Amino acid sequence: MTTNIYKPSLMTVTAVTEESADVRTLRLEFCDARERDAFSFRAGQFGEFSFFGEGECTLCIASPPTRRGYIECTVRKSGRVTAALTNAEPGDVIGFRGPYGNAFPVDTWQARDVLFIAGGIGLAPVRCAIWNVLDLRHRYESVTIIYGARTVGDLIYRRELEQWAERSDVRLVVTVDPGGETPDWRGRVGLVPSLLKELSPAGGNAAAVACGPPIMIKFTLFALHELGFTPEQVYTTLENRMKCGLGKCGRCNIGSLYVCKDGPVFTAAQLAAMHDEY
Amino acid sequence: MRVVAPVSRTAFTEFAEIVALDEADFSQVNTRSSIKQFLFPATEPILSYSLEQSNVKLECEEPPEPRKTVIIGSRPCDAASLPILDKLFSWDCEDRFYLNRRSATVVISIACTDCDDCCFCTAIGLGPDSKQGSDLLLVPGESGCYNAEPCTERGAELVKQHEKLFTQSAAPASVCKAVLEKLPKPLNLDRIANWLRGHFYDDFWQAASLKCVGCGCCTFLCPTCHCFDITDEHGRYRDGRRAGLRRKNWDSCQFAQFTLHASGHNPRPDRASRWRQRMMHKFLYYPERFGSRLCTGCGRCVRSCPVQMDIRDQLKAIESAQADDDQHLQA
Amino acid sequence: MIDQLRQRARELLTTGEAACIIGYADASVPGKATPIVITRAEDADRLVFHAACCNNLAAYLTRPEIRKLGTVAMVAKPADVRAAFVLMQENQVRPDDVKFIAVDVTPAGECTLLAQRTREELLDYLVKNVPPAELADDALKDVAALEEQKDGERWHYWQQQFSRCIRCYACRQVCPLCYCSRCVADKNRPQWIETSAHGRGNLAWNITRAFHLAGRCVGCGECERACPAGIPLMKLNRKLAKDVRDSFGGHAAGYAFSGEQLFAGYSPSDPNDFFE
Repeated sequence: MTTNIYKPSLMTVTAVTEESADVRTLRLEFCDARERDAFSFRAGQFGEFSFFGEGECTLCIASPPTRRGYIECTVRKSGRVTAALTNAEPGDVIGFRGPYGNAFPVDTWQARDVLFIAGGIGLAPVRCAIWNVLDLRHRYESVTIIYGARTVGDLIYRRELEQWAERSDVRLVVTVDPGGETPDWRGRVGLVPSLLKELSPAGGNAAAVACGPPIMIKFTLFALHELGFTPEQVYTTLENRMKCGLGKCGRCNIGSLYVCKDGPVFTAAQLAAMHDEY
Repeated sequence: MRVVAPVSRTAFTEFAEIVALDEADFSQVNTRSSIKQFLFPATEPILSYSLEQSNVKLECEEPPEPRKTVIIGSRPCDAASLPILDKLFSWDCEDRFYLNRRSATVVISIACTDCDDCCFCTAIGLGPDSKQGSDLLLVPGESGCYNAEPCTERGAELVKQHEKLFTQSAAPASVCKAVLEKLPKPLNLDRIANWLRGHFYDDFWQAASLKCVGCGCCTFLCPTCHCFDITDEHGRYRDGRRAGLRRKNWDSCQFAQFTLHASGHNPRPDRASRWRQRMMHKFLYYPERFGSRLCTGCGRCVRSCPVQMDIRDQLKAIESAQADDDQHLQA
Repeated sequence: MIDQLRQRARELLTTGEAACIIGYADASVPGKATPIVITRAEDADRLVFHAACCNNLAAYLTRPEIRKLGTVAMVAKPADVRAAFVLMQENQVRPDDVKFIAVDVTPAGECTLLAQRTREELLDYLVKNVPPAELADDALKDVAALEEQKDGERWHYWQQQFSRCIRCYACRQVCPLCYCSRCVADKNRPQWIETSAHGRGNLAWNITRAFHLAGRCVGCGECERACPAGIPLMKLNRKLAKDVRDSFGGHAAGYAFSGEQLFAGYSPSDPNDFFE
């Protein structure tokens, strides 16, 4: 039993999926069987993923807790560590510390309609919640997924989008921004908030999760408000620059809230009370 | 085991290991840098690894056994920082790099009989003879000896173990009243917190930070500042394997890239927002979270700031601005 | 002298010749001075100038918050004027955006307000009256002493000095010539300079900074004064200034506000005898 809270577990990359030009999903398994068996997490939590020699980076655990034996993370190449992770190959060993942070309160969504709204790579932190719900489908009322990206090339989890499209118990709408469509694109064209307004899901008793670029979040929250969603019914997940992930290094605070401890999942009500510092 | 005390070997008085008491200099108001370095050093390895392609081995995974340390001659302002830092480093999970050193350190403070133009412990609710954080407080008496006041069980134990060095004393030595007269009056810290709570968006921050140059002097010399970075450093090849260290290094919210996202977005993009973070963290956020101000009034930030940023001026301005607001509300 | 300085500041502001004055005010700590930016003529009375006014105010010329204000008039000692001139030469500030309220301190400690105002007048004054202080014989005595040490001793000396560095970057932040929006020490692809405050990282940082300043440092000494660890940074800067002077025809930084920079230009006739 280690007393070093900064010590990572070693994980082997068992599969790499190319989601888009600069985005990869890594499937990871614990090298140590005991660690694997003892590990559990909840949808929405994140980890600090290391590429030894390059550093650590903060990524949400993109696979659901209902699937045991492995975890997945989806990473976009944007800096030194993410560049190393997007270049990882099956067999590589990386480090993982976690799970950290709070989680989507999926249990409280039971017997309610659930609405997932995501933009671009923002689908990654939502995907774990989507699969968590779909793996226990009978517990929830209607499930709606609205997903958009700037261009067709930026859509991630394409195989799963196809799976969700084929399910009769999921309403899926995929869209790209105007100008982002290809000649053979058969999905929708339009911004996510516009499609949300068009679909017009009722607020009622539903729970909504929204994640994506800040501008999309802003207009999505507004649209949800107009549709009758209260700020307590709407969840988002924030990212901030993090290092330790466990509330010591002092980097991720928004006011007196630590994104790594009080988040990364926040309700729209909590978001509204936050200062513009994220 | 080691004993560290203030020594004046260079232009500055700094804590260093001593082997004889005459190496120590207890005559200075304070040392340049604080005792923080003995519990939370400027850089320390937290892990070592070696790589050979995909074969990774972790080594030196546990916090090292710390050297037992006796700090003698710290000032009450420095000692007071330790219980404040304890709260963060033991919040929810324990940072044993800090906490192991903490358990292995005995703090023998010497109360102040003098201060300089930068000291302001009394403004923050402490004083030249505060006991907070010390195991044993030595209060200078008239005849050149010290009145030893145990502040913790460990301090009492220390006195008991070395009974022969102490004599029973009835009358406590008095801290020189003169220093209290030189030190500032207490600030209304609640009032300051209230103003901060309501003035995140305020022109005050731009004006207050305009001359700040954005270095890390204040944060690194501050006994309560604790923000850090975690970074990997490749080292040498050892037996065909690339070895390296993961390190925990002091970092500063005053640096531009402290909160910089990989996307290029920076939630604190300018000097004003970073200065605001410093004030807010110390006098609003940390108290809200942990119940203590993240400041002990040691004055190092004022002493060392290359452009004479003065946190006391700002606190006073904030306090009176809120006092005006409060009066207004009552009227 | 101070009345005249304040009057000049007032005039610059009221005529609109300058949108702000960067100068010195008395700090709260007695005997110390602090930089101040004033935009209203009535605040000119806060300006002071005395021996404790050590900051090189040219460091503020490249700050976005200051640029936004418009034309700046800065209270400037000779080294500060030189620094502003280097910034002009390096295209970091537009010459017309900076006015000078030039001051000097005589060896006797008397503070004077210079009559020279334009950059041409000040350049002339500097060339005629203010040789580079960092290259004066007195100033180079400790450099000579270091030069006489054997290589191992000198290396050991600097290792010891830099071991105290805590990487606060005060040296960089107070320096007018360290204006890079993303310093090489802050880059991690690749990590040219390790960020950790250990011997290796500290040597890399301090030596790199000294070399980046070679031929550009105006010898104001603020880096050394600001250093909370008491590292004799100017010893290294003076050494490099001396080497530049001796290798490049007597060059000293800040005695031109236009024209080619020493190390940023290339000419086919540059000596190449070190390439074999």
